[in-house]
Amino acid sequence: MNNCSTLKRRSPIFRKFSNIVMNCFCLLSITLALFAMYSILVTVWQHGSDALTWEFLTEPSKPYGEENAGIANALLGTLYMSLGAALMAVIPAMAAGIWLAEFGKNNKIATILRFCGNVLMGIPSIIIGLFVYVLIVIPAGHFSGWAGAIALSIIMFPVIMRTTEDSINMVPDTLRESALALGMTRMRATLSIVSRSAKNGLITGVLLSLARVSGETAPLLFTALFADVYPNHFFEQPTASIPVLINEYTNNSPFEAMHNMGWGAALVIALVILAINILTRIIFHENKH
Amino acid sequence: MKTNIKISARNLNFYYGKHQALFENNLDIPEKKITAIIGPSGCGKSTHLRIYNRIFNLYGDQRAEGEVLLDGANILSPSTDILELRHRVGMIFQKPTPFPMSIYDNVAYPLKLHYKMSKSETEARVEQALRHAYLWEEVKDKLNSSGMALSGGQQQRLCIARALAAEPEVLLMDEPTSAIDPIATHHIEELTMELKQKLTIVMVTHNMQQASRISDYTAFFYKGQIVEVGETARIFTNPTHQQTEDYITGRFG
Amino acid sequence: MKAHFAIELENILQRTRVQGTRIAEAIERALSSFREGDTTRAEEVIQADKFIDQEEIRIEEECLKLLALYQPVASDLRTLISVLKINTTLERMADFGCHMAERTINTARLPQPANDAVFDFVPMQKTVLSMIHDTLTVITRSDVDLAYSVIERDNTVDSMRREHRTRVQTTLHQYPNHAEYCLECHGLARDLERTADLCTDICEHIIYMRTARIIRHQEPH
Repeated sequence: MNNCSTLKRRSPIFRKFSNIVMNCFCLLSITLALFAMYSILVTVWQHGSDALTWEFLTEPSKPYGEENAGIANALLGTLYMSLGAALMAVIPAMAAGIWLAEFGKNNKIATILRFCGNVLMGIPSIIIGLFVYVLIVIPAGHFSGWAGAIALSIIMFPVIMRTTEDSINMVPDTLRESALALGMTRMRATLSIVSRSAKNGLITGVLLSLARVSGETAPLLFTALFADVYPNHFFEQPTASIPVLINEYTNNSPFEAMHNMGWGAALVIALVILAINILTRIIFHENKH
Repeated sequence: MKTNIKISARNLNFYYGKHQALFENNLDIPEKKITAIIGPSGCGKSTHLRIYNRIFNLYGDQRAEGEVLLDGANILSPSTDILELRHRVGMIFQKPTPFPMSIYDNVAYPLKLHYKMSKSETEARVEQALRHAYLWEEVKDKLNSSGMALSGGQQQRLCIARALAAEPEVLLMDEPTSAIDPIATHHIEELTMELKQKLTIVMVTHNMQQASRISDYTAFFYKGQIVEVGETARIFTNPTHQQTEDYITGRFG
Repeated sequence: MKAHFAIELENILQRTRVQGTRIAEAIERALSSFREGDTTRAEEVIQADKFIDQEEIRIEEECLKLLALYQPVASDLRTLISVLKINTTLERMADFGCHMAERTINTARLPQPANDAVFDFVPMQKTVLSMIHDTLTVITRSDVDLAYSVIERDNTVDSMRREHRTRVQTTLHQYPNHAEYCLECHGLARDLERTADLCTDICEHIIYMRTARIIRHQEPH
């Protein structure tokens, strides 16, 4: 106490000032990010809201000039392909993630697998599209929704693997130990206790990866392509999807009406992805208690 | 009165990778008594305890040498059935670790794991275990709510109930009250004293008053070695080793 | 935290030592007053005892406070418990000092007996005073060897008292008119003997404090 009083005190003004400056900087950054998102949504809304009618959502797409054209086939196609991709990717990706977190702590194979996952996540999605094109579309002789789903599942795999590994790693060792201390096998402890504890993280990972692949365009151009019909021949024929529809209508069409429909589809997919994101937050915020 | 020796550690050495953490530990744990393990942080007391149910096996780079005899059989031998061992030797951890499921399911889990029993019998056993852990009155109306929603002290008693449900012969407690408040600590200490009628308890604690209050025997660890073992009353009135004296009177370091 | 306890314990020990010195002085003064028939000095001794009593209570309160606040164990516990017991024992020694002083006042009223009826307390007083002083040293230095030597001297005092008893009996027969005086002398011998007993008690407490051995109620080895 007495020692301190003889020391020269440092004025707190500078500390207070730098605190204010940093706060302002952070606020500014948040505002910028929010503003970007806001203007995207507003732009999409301005251009696309006119197209948004009941027929637009329930009618399939039609060649230019026909009445009552919609995007129902593309919506359905995106749904099919995303879910198909999820069906193929989720279980093996989660298994891989769990294995990495639980059994691959100090393991060469795990290190390699983890590295490969990171590389795969960094590969541009168009290359994955090309890869599936060469591997499946060419041998089969036709584009198909199935090929699109495979391309999307390849994109999903590393994302889910990584989020699974991260959320399993967040589970404290003591929970693992207390499960084992009751006499459970390692696998049972992992699957029924540790995974259950990491459940929220796992589901969030899947939903976010779904949101991500449902907006992928490039890999679908080489695999699923586009068709003005409902995806009834998912495995043999080109299948429509929203991102490709947006690309075709806004970029590759000379007609104003098509541009409007493209914006309408963009609005729909933006809203759907926004909804998925918001829903995930709400559900898991509640579950925390 | 002659007491049986339940667990007997013989020339026990323990390694974290290349680092040796325990040196030639010899310790007898008497049956149906509370044995407290005390010592400064990092002296190896938890490490020693974690050998008794081989929980250290979870980590690949940890290794124990020597013998730990449980009722005369060496649990460190490769032929030991680890699941059976952990069924017989339960463990309570420093932080309460309820499973992410309902209170009822938490306690029923080990029952379903080890026994085949009817639903009604499971219910009876769950109630019995919760009563044993003095938790029944507090949770009987909310058995289906999450175990994570309980207070820290209740969570720890839930973990004790869960460990008791499997009917272990030995209960290892690794600083079971260090993360909870004094009243809950009191509950758990009382409970521990009751439990020793049925099972053997080994408790690691860095609360010396706790060790002196509830244990029958005390072992003092220092730098991976067992400095002194004896009846708690003697250790706390007349320790024979200067290190023990210095530690329990707080003159350490 | 721990340093605080050590300081407080040392304070208590210091007060106990001072209390011991004070009591030794009181006993010495009581004895000399008896020898010289000095009733004023005897009165002073009795007056001073009030202060000793108060100090005993203060030391006890300090001990209880330390027990409650620090919950000492091992040697700390033994020291504190020993001090608690020594404190009570010292106070009882002071009471015997008072008894002796009272006997001075009582005998002063009595007619002086014939020379051959006068009791010689000098050897016994010497032994008891040496025991008291050595006990104080034992308290100060926690000297176990000296403590054992004090305990041994108690036997000498006991036999001296037995001799006194026989002398009292013969003197009573010889001078029945000095019966009251004889009884007072008999009482003084008993007071001295009890004081020596209390000295051995204190030494036994110190031995317990140092070695954790309780040697009370045991045959000497």
